[in-house]
Formats: sequence, C-alpha cells, structure tokens
Amino acid sequence: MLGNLKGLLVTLSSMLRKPVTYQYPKEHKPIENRYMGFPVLMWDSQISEPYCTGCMVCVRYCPTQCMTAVMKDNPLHAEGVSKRRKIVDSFEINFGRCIVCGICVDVCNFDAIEMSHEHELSKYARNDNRSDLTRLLEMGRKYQEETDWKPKTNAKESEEEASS
Amino acid sequence: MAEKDKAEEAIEPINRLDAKSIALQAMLPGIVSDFKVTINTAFDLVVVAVEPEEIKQICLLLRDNDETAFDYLLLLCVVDYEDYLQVVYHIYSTSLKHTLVVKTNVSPEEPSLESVTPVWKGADWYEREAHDLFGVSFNAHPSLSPLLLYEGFEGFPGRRNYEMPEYKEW
Amino acid sequence: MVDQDINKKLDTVQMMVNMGPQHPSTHGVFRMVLAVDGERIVDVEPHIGYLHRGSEKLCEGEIYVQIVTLFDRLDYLSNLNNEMVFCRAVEKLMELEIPERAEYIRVILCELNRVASHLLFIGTFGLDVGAMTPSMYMFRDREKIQSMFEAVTGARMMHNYIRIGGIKNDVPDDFIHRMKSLIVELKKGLEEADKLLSFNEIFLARTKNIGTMSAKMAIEYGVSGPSLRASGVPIDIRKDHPYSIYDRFDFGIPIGEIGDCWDRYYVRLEEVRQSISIMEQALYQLPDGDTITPTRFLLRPPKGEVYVRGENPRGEIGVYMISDGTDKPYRVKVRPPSFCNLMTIKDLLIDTYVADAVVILGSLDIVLGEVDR
Repeated sequence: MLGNLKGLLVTLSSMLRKPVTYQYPKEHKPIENRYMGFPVLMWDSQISEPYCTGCMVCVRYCPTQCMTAVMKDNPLHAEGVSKRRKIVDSFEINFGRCIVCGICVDVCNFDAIEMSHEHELSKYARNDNRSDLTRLLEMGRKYQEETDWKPKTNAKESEEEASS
Repeated sequence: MAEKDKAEEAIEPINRLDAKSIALQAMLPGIVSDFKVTINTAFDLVVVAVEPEEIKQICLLLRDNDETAFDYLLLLCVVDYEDYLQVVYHIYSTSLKHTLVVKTNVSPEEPSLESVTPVWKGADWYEREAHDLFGVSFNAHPSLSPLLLYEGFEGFPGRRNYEMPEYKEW
Repeated sequence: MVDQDINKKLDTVQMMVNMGPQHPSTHGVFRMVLAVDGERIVDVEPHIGYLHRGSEKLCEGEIYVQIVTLFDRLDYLSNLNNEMVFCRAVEKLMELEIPERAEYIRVILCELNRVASHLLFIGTFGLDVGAMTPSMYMFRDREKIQSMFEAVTGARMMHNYIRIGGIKNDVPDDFIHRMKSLIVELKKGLEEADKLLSFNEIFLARTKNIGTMSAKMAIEYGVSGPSLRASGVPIDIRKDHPYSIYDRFDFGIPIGEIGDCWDRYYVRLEEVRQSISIMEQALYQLPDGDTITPTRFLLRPPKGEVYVRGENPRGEIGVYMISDGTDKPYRVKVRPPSFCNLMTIKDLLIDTYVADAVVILGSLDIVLGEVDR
C-alpha cells in the first residue's frame, strides 16, 4: 500500500511541472550545431562554383554506395579564374540509401561535402528521394547561410587520393 | 586459395599472453595428454587444436577438471578457410577467470561434428546458426531446424563461395 | 458416485498459441509458439531470424572504417558500446595507443549510453507489467540523453563517433557543464522511477518469484550482463578484465539474490546509479589533449586473430576478428549478449502462466537487431 502511495505522490508532483513535449509538425525541436543531416555540396561563392571536383573519393568510400559523381574539365580554370582544374559535372545522392554516417565528409579533400541540417525529406515513392547537383548545391548554400560555414583551410593535403 | 592459407599460418607469431594464459599454457599439456592436440597461441589467448572426433570428450574434460573448470561458453564460431571449415570455441571459466580457444577442422563437404550441447547448454543456438549458415551438422543436437534463415533456404550463405543474389534497386 | 465425478480431473486439451512476430511486448520481431494447457505453458518454441541482415557476412566485404557503421546497427539501443568494442578489436590487433582524453570521452559516452538503454528497459518493463507512467517518464529522461548525443556526436542513434584510434572529434566546449546538469536531472528521474515502480505492490506481485533463473542455469547457458548478475554471479568484464580505463574508477557490481524478474529489474536500476558514478568520476578526471591517434583511412592490420570482450548494457559482447592483412577483415563474428540471454527463454517459460511470459521476456531485455544480426 505504501509503495502505491509513494508512486502516486510522484505522479501528483509532476502535475505542476512544465510540459516537455514538442508539438511536432507545428513546433520543432531546436537542432544542435553538430547535427548530421543528409550530406550536401558546398558552394564556393568567391569564384561562384562548387568546391567539389568530382574526384569520387566519397563515392568509393560510401558504405552504402548511395552516390554517383562525374568529373569534367573546369571552364573557369581555362579562363584563369579558378584554381580547380577539374570540376563536378553531375552528382547524385540517393537519400533513401544514405545512412548519414559522415564518412564522405571525412574522406573529402576539398571540403566539398558537408553534413547539413536537412532531415525532413520524405517522398511518396521508395526510390524517389534522389537529389541531383543543383538541388544539392541549393541545400548546401542554405546550410552555409544558416551556420556561417568556413572551409577548413588546408586541413587535408593528401592529394594522392584525388589523383589516384 | 593460396592466400587464404597464409592467413591461417600467420596466426602464431604475435604473442601477448597475460599471466593467467601463461599458467594455462603450462598446465594444459598435462591435462589433455590422452588426446592428440597441438597447443599454440593467438595474440593473447591459448589455442588448442584438436581432432574433430574428440571434441566432445575434450570439452567435457576441460569443463570437469578442477584446474581448468571451463564452465562458460563464450562463442562458437565457424570460419570458412575454403579448404576446410574451422569450428572455434571460445570458453571461459567463471571461477578461475581464464579463457581458452579450442579449434577443430572439418571438411567442407558434408562437415559433421559431435554436438557440445550436453557440455554447455549455451551451444544450442550457436550450433543451429552454424548449421544454417555453414552447413555444419552437429550429431546428437536436439533439433537442427533453421534458426536465422527460413525453412527451405538453399545454400550456405556464411561460406565464402556463396553467391549473393543480385541486388535490385526498387 | 457423485464425489468421484467431482474429484475426477477434467480432460484438458493442449492449445497452440502463436505470439508474435508483431506483438507489442516482444520488443521487436520475435515469435514464440506456446503450447498451453489452460493458462499454463507446457512447451515453447522460439523463432528468431526475422531481422537477419547478415551483418557478419557484410563485414567481410567492407573496409574496417565502414564496419563501424554496421556495428552501430547491431544493438541499436547501445550503439556507442558496440562501436567501442569493434574499434578496440582493431586497435588491439594493430596495437594502437589511444590518447587519454579519447579514452575518457569514450567511457563517459558509453556509460551514458548504458544509462539510456537501462532507462528504456525500466520504461518498457513497466509497460510489460501494465504500468503506463514509468515509460513516459523514462522516455522523457532518455530524450535528454539523446539530445546530449546529438550535441556531441551529431546523431541521436547511429553515431559513427568512436573511430579506430580514438574518437571522431573533440566534445563541444560546454560538454562538461551540460553533462553535469544532465547527471543531476538523471538522478532525479531515476529516483522517480524507483519510487514509482520498484516497491509498488502490484509490480512486486507481478515480478517477485517469476521466471527464476538459478546461477547454475545462467552459467550453463552463457547468460551474461545484468541477467547473470541478478542470479547472484558477480561477473562484470569491466571489473574482472578491465579494458579501456575502467580500472581507474571506483564502482560496484550490483548483484541479485534469486534471479527472478524483480532482481533483473533492480540490478539494472542499481547499475544506472553505478554508471552515473563512473561518469562523475570520469568527468572530474577528464584530461586535456588529443582525441585521436592518426591512422590511414585504408587500414591494413597485421595478419592474426583477436578476441575482444566488452560489457554492453545487455551483457557481454565479444568480437572475434580474423585479419588476413588486407584492408578487409577475413571474418568477423560477434558474440551477441541478447542471443545468449534469449536462449534461456524455453527453460524459463515452461510451467509459468501466459500472462507472465510477457514479463519474463521483458525482463531479459533483448534487442532483436542483435539477436538476429
């Protein structure tokens, strides 16, 4: 009997407490700074081109093979505006397969891919959740504006990965 | 094939035995002297390689001997070395706190082995799993019905030569 | 004549009852076929494998860094503990030194994960015996831990934070401050659970002397973790074979008396207190320094085999890994604690009542992702 009363006291005392539930679709839980959403591509606004050179390192190391990338010669390099000799031509991520592990960010040598705060992407068909280059860059720019993102300057200089 | 054999050979050189394993290594030959065994080490554990026919007797002996008292089965695992299948038993003593690895090799064609469920009840599901995935049949096991796979599954998906069905993206 | 008829035992017929795989109280996709005689269980046939993903086979085709993500998904309620045991296996084989700070952060996060897992157990176990409120309270507290993980690792469940050689990146600046306030809240929440559930008469009636597991039986079956300690066997890998830096902390191993459902519950509750104590000590001792020993991304550990043991919230996890010197392991085999604990279900359930089956299964605290792999 005493045990029951003790329990009742606990529930009674919590009546006065502030509710902790977020009424989800209307009200969102604030996202932590480090939150890993889906990977997106970063935009170099100085030269106005993507950071990504299409070197395929992320594609090779992705545990679920959810990405594809194609490389092309950079026209801006020929003009002398950009230092990037190659640039990404097309890039696709299948978010339905992505497991948000962050390995692609770790292996990238050019700070081109980053885990965004994007997480509410639902589609009607199972294989619909694919994003092409334009959309990825768009999401990337949104993330850059939100978080004041800066490239990690010369953090990784292992160029051999890119050339191999 | 040849590369895989090398993987097996190279298990011996690293030796990081702790005090308990050294003591175990010293006393083991006296205990299992009746059987044909080879004792070596793998990293920080003592390994006893035994004949497949004698596995149950040796396990019983190791469990009931007061000096070894291996009363706890940690893990039963099958490793496919393509030329042969290796069944690995990691056993532990809850009173003396030492660990031993018992290994035995069986042929990949119709591998069969004496079940150790009478020695440690905990071997039950491990043996069923090994039967599912590697096709090792354990004699005198209470029931070897499929555990992880469904009834009527063809092939042994744990083996290295198992061909994965082609993946279709939907 | 009449008396005889009354005394004559009624003819009963055994009935097969199929429980699961979609049963709310089986904690996943676990199916039992019960042969019942009235309310009494005569025979049990457990069926697992509905969640078999072939994780061990998949490990053979992935490089070491990618396998960490597979280990996240084995026991999906204690991801960090799983990651840690795999990383320790590779580190042991490569004989890597881990920076002090990384070890401390690993231990803090693993213990936090243990608390989260046990809190979920307390909540769902309450639900199994018919107490609705604890599950709400415990989920509220677990949510705070999840937010903490989100702040540190970037993900709420599948972290991929513990890496081979250390941890992914250093904790945020306000980590210690936030941990301290979190610990205060957790302690408060735990006291609530204790008062709500532990000595509630209805709860005691449902769990005391139900599903008793003797120490002998537990050892025979290879039961580990809180379920083993509830039977009075003080085996804890953190104490017996201290790994990482667990030998630097002062903590106790709570053990039960007879190994019934209540013991298994209360051992876990006590364990949360011990985990909180470990976290407090680790936070106090937390040194400065590096957080990762740099390694190549494409690891090639030396040839050899290694067996590593660790203490998960659910029991003892073991990883048996064989490397053939290439960038992919030759074989990875996991000793899943829930798998061994679940093996006892047949012996535990026979001669109990159907209503208790749910309680006994709940008290073993299984995660099907780990049982089926």
